[in-house]
Amino acid sequence: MKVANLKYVALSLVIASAFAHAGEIKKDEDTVYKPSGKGFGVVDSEATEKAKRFATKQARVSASKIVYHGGPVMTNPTKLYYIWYGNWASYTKAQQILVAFGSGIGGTPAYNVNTSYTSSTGAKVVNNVQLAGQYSDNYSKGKALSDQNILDVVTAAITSNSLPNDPNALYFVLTSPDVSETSGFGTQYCGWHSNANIGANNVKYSFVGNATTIAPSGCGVNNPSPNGDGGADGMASVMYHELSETVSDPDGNAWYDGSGNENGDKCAWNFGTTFKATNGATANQTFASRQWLLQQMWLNVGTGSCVQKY
Amino acid sequence: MKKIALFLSTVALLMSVPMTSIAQAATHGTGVLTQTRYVRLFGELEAELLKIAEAHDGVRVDQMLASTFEVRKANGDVIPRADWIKQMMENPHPEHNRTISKLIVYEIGAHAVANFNISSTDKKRGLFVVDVWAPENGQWVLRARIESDLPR
Repeated sequence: MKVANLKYVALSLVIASAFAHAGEIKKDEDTVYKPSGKGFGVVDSEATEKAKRFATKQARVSASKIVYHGGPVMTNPTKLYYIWYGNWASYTKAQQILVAFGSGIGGTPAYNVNTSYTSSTGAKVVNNVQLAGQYSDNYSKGKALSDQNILDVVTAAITSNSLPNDPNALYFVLTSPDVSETSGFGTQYCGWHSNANIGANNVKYSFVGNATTIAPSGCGVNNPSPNGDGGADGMASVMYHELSETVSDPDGNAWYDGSGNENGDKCAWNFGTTFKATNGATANQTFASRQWLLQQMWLNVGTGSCVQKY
Repeated sequence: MKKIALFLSTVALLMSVPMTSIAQAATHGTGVLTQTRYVRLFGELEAELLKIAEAHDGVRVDQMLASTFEVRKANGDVIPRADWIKQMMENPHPEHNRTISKLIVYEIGAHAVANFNISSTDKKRGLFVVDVWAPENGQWVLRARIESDLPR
């Protein structure tokens, strides 16, 4: 056995220790993190330097309390636009479920949690969400999508005037079970949100895939599920997550904690108290004449907490 | 031979340069993600494995490893289960200040396959690691660990 190889006997001993950092960031008192796009934070160098230089109570950012970083918050009524990507024609049950979600989430006690987030002027997120339009994309970018492809799909829907260019909206790209997103759908994430300039507007958009094929357990595809379609029910919870993060932190510079977690991240896969749905599934919300299993959301009141409603 | 290997491992350890231990998350090209349950779950399991190794809790380490667990190296070397546990108990931190990155977890049937890069802070050394987790009697156990050098 070569010495060089034997070094890796030693290396193997520390692998488990390295795992301790998986999915989270080890931090010292003053290191500050911002959303990374991996569900956990990256070091915010500027903020960290500032915090370390002026290590006062005011300068330090708590890892648990969600903090405002000065960026815009979506305080107007929010419109949703769905882009059905792939083959949904034979999967209309899922479409009906997700249309019910988008049409019904606004005005609920669940979504009202997001009214605890304010802009720099003190304006609150309003409990008003409308599903304002839908568009179908028949695999224009194939079945293996990159992040850029997702933006391209949104851009095409807008520039073709199939959907309006609306800065007060969130565009959901919803992919059918046979479509993959190559940057980590199912292995790292179940969905994500982002923003980009399209035309004259800063457009907010989100990818949420149907994980029935690629990650049924990892992305919450339950059987039974409250509406009888595990893929769609799993997507609904992820959409609630992304919608809530988008209105409170649309550009990634508004509300997040010292670890880079936004309001949805802080309560991901935390469902709170549940009840048995009429079909025997586990549920925790009722709206739009349906029952749902949605993750809890971070209430930005006092020290904050994960709650089902507000 | 195993004693020699352990001795040389210790020497390699002593030769390693201490560095600060701060994990750095990789960035995504676009937005902010909803982490999968599995990334969260297996991050927690590995954290537990670390914790119990630090506490020299050989009983719990034994429970977390499948009876057929082994570590397999890219050159074909194999570290049997008992030897790995012994190493973990003797020194769970032979080198400090490593950075883990690119953690992903594949869901393959009932199994979960976690993989990631681990590298020294100075980026001079690194490994690509694959962990295979399997359900067994209502809990997850680590079935195998496979690792190889990262290109320098």
